[in-house]
Amino acid sequence: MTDRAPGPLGLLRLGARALRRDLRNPHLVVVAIALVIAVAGMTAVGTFTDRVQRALTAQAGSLLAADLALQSSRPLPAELRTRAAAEGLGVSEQINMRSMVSHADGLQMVELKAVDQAYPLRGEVQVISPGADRPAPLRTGPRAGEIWVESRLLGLLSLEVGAALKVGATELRIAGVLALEPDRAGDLFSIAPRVMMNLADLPATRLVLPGSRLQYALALAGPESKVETFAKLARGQARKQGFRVVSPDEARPEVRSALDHARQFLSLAALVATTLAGLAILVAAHSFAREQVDTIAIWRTLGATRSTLGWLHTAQIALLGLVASATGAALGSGLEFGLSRALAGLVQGEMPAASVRPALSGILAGVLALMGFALPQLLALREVSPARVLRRDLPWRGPGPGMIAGGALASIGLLAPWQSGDVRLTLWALGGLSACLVLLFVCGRAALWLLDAWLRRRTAWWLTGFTNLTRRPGLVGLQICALGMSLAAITLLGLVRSDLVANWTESLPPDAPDQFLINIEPEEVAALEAFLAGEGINTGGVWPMVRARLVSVNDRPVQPEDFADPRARRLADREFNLSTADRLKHDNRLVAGQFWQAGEDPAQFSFEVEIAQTLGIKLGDTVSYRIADRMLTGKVTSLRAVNWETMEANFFVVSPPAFLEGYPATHITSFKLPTGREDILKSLSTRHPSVTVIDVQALLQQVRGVMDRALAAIEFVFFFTLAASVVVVFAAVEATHGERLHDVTVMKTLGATRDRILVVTSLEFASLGALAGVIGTVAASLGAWWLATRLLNMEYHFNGTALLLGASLGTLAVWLAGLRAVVGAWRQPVAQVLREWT
Amino acid sequence: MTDGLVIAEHLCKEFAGPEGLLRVLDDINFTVARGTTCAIVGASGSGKSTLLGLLAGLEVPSSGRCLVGGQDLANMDEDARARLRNERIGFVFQQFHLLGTLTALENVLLPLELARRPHARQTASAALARVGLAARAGHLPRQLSGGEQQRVALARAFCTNPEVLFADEPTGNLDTRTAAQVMDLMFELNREHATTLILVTHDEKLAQRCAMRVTLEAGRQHPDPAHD
Repeated sequence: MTDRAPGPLGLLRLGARALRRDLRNPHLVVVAIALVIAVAGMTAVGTFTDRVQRALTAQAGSLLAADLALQSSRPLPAELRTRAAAEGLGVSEQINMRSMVSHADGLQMVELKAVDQAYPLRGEVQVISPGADRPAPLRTGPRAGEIWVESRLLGLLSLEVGAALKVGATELRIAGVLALEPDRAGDLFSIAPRVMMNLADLPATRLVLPGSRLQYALALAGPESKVETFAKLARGQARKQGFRVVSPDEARPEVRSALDHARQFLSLAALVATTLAGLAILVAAHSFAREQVDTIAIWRTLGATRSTLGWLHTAQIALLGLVASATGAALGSGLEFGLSRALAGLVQGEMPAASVRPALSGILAGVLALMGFALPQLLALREVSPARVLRRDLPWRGPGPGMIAGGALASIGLLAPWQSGDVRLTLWALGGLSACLVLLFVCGRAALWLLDAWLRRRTAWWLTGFTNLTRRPGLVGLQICALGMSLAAITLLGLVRSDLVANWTESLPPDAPDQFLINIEPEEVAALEAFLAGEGINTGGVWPMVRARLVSVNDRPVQPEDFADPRARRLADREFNLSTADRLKHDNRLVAGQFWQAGEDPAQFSFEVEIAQTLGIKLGDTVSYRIADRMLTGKVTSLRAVNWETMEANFFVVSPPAFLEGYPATHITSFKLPTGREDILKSLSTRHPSVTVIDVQALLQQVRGVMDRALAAIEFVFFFTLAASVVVVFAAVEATHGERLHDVTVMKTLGATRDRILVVTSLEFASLGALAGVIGTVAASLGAWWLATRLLNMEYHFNGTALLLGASLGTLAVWLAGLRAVVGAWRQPVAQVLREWT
Repeated sequence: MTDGLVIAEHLCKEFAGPEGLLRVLDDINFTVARGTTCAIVGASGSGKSTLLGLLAGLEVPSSGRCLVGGQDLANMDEDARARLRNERIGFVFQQFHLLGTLTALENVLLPLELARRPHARQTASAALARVGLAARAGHLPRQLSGGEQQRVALARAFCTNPEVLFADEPTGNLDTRTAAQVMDLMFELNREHATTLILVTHDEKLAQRCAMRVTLEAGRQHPDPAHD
């Protein structure tokens, strides 16, 4: 017999028609709503993080004065420059070195930077011209024959703007005071003052000699895609050719840390919202499939083959997925747009336009989620016996647990890493979800078994509500799992969210320091402290900084070449700022070892944990530094995690104060400048001309902007998760719609009053909600503890009230949803229900 | 009988019950000739509907065999039987079994589309017009009376020009007058399409309109002379 099953178009037409009609089915409506919520959530969060990230990259670009930089101690390959120019990228060359400059009898070591006319490719240089009292932004370097210098050089060499400075073999005229260079951020605390000159004047200085320690840089800027392509090409050659590739996202640990936390939470929340929506889809699709059994038996009788039905359901699901996902994507984009508009006045900086990618990936993810969660239920309908048209009692087993779990896990497994972009987080989240599901299943079954044992010895009309639970263990088990998961997820997110918000608010209070003072000589410390105290300013403390080079670990010499990691190589190649601390600072957390006590042997170091990992330094290692011509050797006795988001002065390596005594040190302090009190900075520079003031207000604003946006995004995604869990409750309650309608009608026929029916169903749903609520919130508190301490590196605060609230609200929600359904069933005419049931 | 379209040979059907296997049909043998009409009669629970299910390939026998157009249904897989039903068999049920979410026209269209018949829509419209429901084409089953629903079911059953029509208590849910009208229509259509009709019924009058009858009693076949 030839297969005359309908072709693809025919199936699509049949699927579309079936879908159009079935859209009135409440279970399919739940499926559609859940999908709209999931896709709206994914799209909104995706668009939001995409825009914030691109905004940050753009801002960070101005901190690098480019979109990409290649740096090397040797001249960079000329073909790279030619290639970049040919690709249409903006190119700027720079050479950095340390050198002595002189004026009259004065000599001073400076950080010399020679730039071409294209500098800066991104951001602006702030220069105070002669006669001006404030810096003006410029998008160029100094002209040939001219230099810009930092104000402290003027003080150190008693110079005036307009004077000539001897740089190597030539003299250059000081044309302005350099107030800010965009790409100085990475090297804020260098000791020597900056001198910026034109690259064309460099040969005349005769400073470029064999053996000179020079840093060559090639800065590049251009359209994102071109820069990315070039970065890939450059990274491929970097190792062999001995240069390193720096992109803007490597700047700003403070911003990155805040954003990383936010991104982790958002990914997690979007993942949870998607899983919850998936759960709602699964439960509703299961109910829909159960209702479709008789219809499918008719299809089978009329000659539909299993493959026809399989393709038909796939077409139907794909169509539903596309329509609901497109609606969700539109809704998500709209909400995101609205939120961004609402936030526009609150946060600093322009946001780049939304890209269409998150919406498209949201739609695709929606279709995938639907396929994974709903299709196994519908595909199982292929096995319905056509003989059901004659005998309705013929059983239909439905999809096996393996098929359901397989589809759901495959779907989440595909979606999660793609949506979160974080495989580790995804794996943990999936493990957590599975563990929660097992807990719910086992505890739920055990509770039902106990309830059944208790019921066996009792009879009363009101106990019917409990019997309804124990006599349908399969369906009620599914309800407990769905409701419990939903309550666990929402409680968990609620707990983590409040922890995260509290953590941020704590870490970046309104009085976070926005001014740093560096190069404070030891003899100036007391006078400076007195001056600031006199102005009513509180500093977080004045910390010494000792420049030291890491020379050996456990007596093994440290060579930059020994490290494969470019960051480690860089760290091994430069000087560290060592500092002291007599106790652990409030924004530091002990990760390993013991922090020293007063009176202990001072030869100890405490390392910031990430830097220790990068350099391969462990607790108990003996570390030696060279300071000028002296050696400093001590033991690593503790590792610390530093909260960089506080913006306070922090150091990678600290030791007890007595250990660094007698070594040449400058000091650093930080404070919050009261609004409108810029005069303090002016008097400060008059009284302490050698002290350098670094204003990080703009940076602070950037961090605050990121946090505000992230907080709004968190509330936003929380709303979607909440909506998804409401749909789960609705879907779970609706799962027993048919049976409840029948039971209520029979009770009505037998003379049960409305009140009695309400008592019975209240007991059924309240106990269902309480069971799911208690197990779910216990799972949530375990999850919150684990997430906070292991994944987000935050302190966990047990929140009993929140747990109690979660369980109570869960019970209430399930009870209300149940009552709503029962009242609906009560209104149905008895005769009609009984006729349809037979 | 040489031109047997539907043949039952030693048909047995057993179901697993709480007290072991329950034999609901035992050694049924008969042949229905092409173009004839056959009534399957018997008391409730005698196995009439089970027999119809076996003859139409909705279920498989525990033993014995059933042939439709020379093809042994037990040797075919479920999908092959589905295709056979689609191409050669029509059904009318007591419960009508229209799809509640499809209109009258769409219900009639369904088997035509499953069979990829050309001009399906025109054929379905003509079939609906033939049963007097052209004006009700856009109505959903719940908007139609019982008699109208059964007429839609007739249109659906005949629109593919089946070789054999199985009808399971087609008047069981209709009042006497409507039942008579619907049955007149069914026999008319049967003649027009030269379809072989196999009818399960309680209704003696209806059974008498058929050329042959198979009587079941507690799952066993009783010898019963065929009418002329």
